[in-house]
Amino acid sequence: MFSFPIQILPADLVAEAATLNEKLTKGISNLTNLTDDDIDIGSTPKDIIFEQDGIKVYHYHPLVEQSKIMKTPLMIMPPLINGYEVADLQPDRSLVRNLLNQGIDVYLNDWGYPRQVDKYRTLDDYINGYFDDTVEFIRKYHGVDKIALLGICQGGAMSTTYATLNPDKISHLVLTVSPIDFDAYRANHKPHEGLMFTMGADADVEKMVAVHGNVPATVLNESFMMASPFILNYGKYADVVDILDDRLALQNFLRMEKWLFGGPDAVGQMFKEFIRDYLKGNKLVKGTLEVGGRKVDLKDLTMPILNIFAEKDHIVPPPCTVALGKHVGSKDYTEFAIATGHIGIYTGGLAQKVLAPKVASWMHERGG
Amino acid sequence: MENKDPNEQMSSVVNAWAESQKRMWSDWSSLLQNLPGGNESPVEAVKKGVEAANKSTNEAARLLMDRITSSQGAMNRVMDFFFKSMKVVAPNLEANKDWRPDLKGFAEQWAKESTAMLERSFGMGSHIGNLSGTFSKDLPDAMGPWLSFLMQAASSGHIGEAVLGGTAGLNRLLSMEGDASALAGVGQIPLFGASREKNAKLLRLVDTVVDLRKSSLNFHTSFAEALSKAVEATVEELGKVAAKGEKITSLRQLMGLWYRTADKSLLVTFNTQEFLDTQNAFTKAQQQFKLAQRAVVEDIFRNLDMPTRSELDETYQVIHELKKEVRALKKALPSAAQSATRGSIAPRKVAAAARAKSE
Repeated sequence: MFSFPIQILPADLVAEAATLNEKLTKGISNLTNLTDDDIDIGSTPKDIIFEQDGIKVYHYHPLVEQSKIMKTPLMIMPPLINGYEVADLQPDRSLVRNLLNQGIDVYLNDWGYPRQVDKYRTLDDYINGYFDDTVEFIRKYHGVDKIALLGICQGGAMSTTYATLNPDKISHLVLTVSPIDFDAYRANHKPHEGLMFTMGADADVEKMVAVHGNVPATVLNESFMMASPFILNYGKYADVVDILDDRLALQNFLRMEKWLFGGPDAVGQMFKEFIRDYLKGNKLVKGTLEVGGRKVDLKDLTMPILNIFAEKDHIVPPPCTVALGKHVGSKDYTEFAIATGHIGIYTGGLAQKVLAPKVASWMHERGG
Repeated sequence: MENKDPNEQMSSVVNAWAESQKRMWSDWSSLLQNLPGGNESPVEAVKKGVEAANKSTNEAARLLMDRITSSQGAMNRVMDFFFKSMKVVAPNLEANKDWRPDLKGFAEQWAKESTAMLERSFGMGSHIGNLSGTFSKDLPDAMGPWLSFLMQAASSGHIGEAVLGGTAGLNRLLSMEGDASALAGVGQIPLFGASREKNAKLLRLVDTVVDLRKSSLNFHTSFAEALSKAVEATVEELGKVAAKGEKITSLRQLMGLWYRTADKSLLVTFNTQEFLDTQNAFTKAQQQFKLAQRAVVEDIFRNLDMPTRSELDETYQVIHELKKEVRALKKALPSAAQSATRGSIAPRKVAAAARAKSE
């Protein structure tokens, strides 16, 4: 006979509920004492040096003496569908800060929050318009012919596209958890990997955009959370009760929540084109992508490339990232794996120790 | 003392779960009596209490409480599903019988309840009621019978059911045999007469509500099947726990096991083409409903001389094209561009957390 292992005594259950209540009560008191300033994200000191249509370019203040700063500036290109703060979540978990500490001169392009009036922006507007305007501005501002690019996730796919079309302006291309081949995860597919791609490939994006204009961040978050529905929707909030009385841990939890749920909506037309050409059409690796009438041929990527991926990435599975190696024209192509997940590569403990030093040493070895 | 009878054990846990929920909300109510909104539901009261205590200085904390309290409700429903399904499974386990058919039956019933709950939360009936109320002020009398039908359908609270089942209003309108008044009203049928376009839009809206209801039921049936598979997987996990001679003695332990196992099992279902098709059909029906609703609302707006979403979209497109031209002109005239952007070039310090959605 099946020996039933659930042995929860009613009295224990009631006592557990009482303990939970007590923790929540203390937690409310803690929460009410925290202000927005305590939950700051993207706090590394910086200046806005360029601004156009709600898109800003930041130049970060150096953290090492001038003589130790590399001559080639690096621009971070975040995704359009997440806040840039993932690269600078909090002082002890900040890719930006770590790069500055390695002597890299860091710029960052903040795509901002699109409004309905922006919904007709196209892939061409972004790549040949805003992206190029930013690169042009930094080249002049910094007085260099070429700059280095570091792409984050979708920002990596966009950086790859831009660098392919403009190899004369980019000295080094660094990609982090960037989707290149959107079908590569399907071979040896594991259920927890690539669910967003699987759902996206089937979705009627035309209609989604017709309804929403810009696709709301909440819709994108919901599809992200389907990869672990119970733990991300319920388990996480049941567990947070344990840290409600720990001010520091609570602050860190809230910073991540603020970033996760405070992201921008996806620009309607751009989203349609990205899903159609990159995800459904997989045109980047098929060599059939055209942006503003210009063909994107990955063989034109001739600069040194550092392709960094997360071994436990279920959002952009590693095969989708490393597929780039087969298609590029560059003879200097390096892959680097970090034993973490898609977000952990920017905010995780291990990544703080290895990501920025790897980028810095790699650039340094290549005349950065 | 250890209870080896799964049936008794599950009944006891389910009763204790219900009692602890009652107790918890009662404790919350006492706690919240001193906070603003103390007479409301605990969830609303917590939200208002935190908002008031923070005086809107801490959006992230307020949102967290929002999520804790709203996820508490959803979490309870998920735990309820688990406990109730275990209550179905346990007697069969005890009798060494196949428990899967009973679990399937329970899941189907749950899907129906979920669909009914979703319809209530959509407020389908009241929306249609409000809509037809607004229409009656602005549209010709020819709409009368259709509005009457819609109002009648709405008053039942289930517009889709009303359409499928045939209300008196619908029957009056569609059955013309020997009914002179209905024949006289042939001009009021949506595809005839001066107001045919408006009527057709309304009918399309009704159609989308019917489609939404059907696809919602299909989706919730699929989701319930997925959940019952998750319960199956959890029973297997419990078997492994029992085989190791281990016990689950706290709710948190049980929740952890259920969530982890369910997530793994759900992901397998979510990746199947059958589930993706059902999910897409549901999403598509929601989108069609919104588009049909917009078409009707735009008619009302036009009658009130207010700008519609379509007109705003045309304006947005013009602004977009103009901005593009300005950018191209700036690029073509580097000196002009420099002077035009000079204000932006002067570095400005950025205050942390100054980022707002209104940017």
